[in-house]
Amino acid sequence: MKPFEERGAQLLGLSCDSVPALKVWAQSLGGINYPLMSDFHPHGKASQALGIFNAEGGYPMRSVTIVDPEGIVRAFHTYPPGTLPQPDAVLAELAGLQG
Amino acid sequence: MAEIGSKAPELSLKSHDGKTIALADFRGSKWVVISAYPLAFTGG
Repeated sequence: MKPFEERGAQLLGLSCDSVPALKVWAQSLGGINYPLMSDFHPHGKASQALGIFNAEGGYPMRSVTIVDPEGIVRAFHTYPPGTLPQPDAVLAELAGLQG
Repeated sequence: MAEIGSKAPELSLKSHDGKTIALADFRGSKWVVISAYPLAFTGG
């Protein structure tokens, strides 16, 4: 996604959907310009490692994790059902962390 | 919960276009923003 690229960042989507489901979803959105990662098999392994797996539902919590180029987690937010992360707010936080 | 200041886990996953993406791919070069969501087709 261009605004993230301009800040030297890579945006990655993450869910427990299968690769074919993500491919069809991306197509249904008219294409998507950042990777949607599949945590389908082993189910939820990456989400568990990130500490965002909802074991009851079997899917990751809606959340944003910002990792710096050294691989350190610098910000983490979850979003309650019915709310979405606002890209401008995430970009502003990224800019703040980058100094 | 990801702890601020902790090392991010080593993730390596297939993406919707069939490529394998690892967090380590960006080490030393880029910040990474991971946007996780419960399910595709359900509002992002």
